[in-house]
Amino acid sequence: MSKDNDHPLISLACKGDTAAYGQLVEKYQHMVYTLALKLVGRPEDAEEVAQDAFLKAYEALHSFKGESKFSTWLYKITYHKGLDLLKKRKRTIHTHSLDGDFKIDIPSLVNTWDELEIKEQREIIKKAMDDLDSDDAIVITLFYFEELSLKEMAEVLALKSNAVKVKLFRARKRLASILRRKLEPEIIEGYEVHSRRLLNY
Amino acid sequence: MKKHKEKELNAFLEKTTKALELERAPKNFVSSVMQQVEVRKANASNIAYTPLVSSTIWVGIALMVVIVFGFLTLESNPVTLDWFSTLKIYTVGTMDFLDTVSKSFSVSDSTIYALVGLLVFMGVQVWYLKRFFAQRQVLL
Repeated sequence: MSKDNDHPLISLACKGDTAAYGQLVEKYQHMVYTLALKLVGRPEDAEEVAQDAFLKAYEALHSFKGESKFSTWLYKITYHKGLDLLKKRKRTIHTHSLDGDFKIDIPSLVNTWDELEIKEQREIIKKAMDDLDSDDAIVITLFYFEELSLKEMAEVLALKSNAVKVKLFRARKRLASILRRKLEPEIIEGYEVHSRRLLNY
Repeated sequence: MKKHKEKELNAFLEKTTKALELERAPKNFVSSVMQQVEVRKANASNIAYTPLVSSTIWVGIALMVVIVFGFLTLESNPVTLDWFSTLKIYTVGTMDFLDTVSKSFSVSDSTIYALVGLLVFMGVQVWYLKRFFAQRQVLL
């Protein structure tokens, strides 16, 4: 049995109802495209990967046994399609080692973040995600945005849960470092405003 | 202390990623996927699977084999119940029953065990490889 509410649509699609499959494409198009883009980098390649993933999923729909969520299965196909394209283009996923000690004052980052307007927050997190390596960006997107469990992520990335845990741990730190760099001007500005206020007293 | 830092970092990232928006797929993405789905569906129905040897022919072949074997065994040797005792089934463990199959063709016990082992091994391997490639096919 499927653990999610896509099961009726999947059953209909298996019986040849393409409109039902269209609804699934509509529902997951942005997430699949986002994952593909994080992996391959170029929008035109991401579109190709996302299309291939949906077509492959359609062809293999009868073999989907519902042991996992349909979304997890679809992301797994997307991830592998992305890797195939990178292989074809003789490119690889970029990963960097964590350099130096990780010393970030999280409370000051939280304060600065809270003072930003939503529009600024969106811009900063988007830029930070763009600066992340594709491997890290995928892990962060699956965990925080799609809220997949470690087990589900392990299935998508074809890794063991412990390996995913380590990947997530590193990705978090890298994202926090990038966010700190992005928020630094705001933090400094915050300190200046604070000290000016103190002087006025 | 380390755990506390971890929790703090996780909470901060949860907060920041709430502002994250998904990339938008191109405008005509759904229609272009569905067009290709329709094409594939049409192609799949055009090239419907037809077995090389139909089931009627298989049944015919099976019948012929049974008839031929029946004639060969019943024609030359009249049916008696004595043939059962010649099989020496009680000696299965020692493989002696094979002596009754052919007197001239002798194979040692260890060779028989090796061949049986090989057959089992191949059977398992074929089953395993079939499963492995079936799973892989979904991803490729």
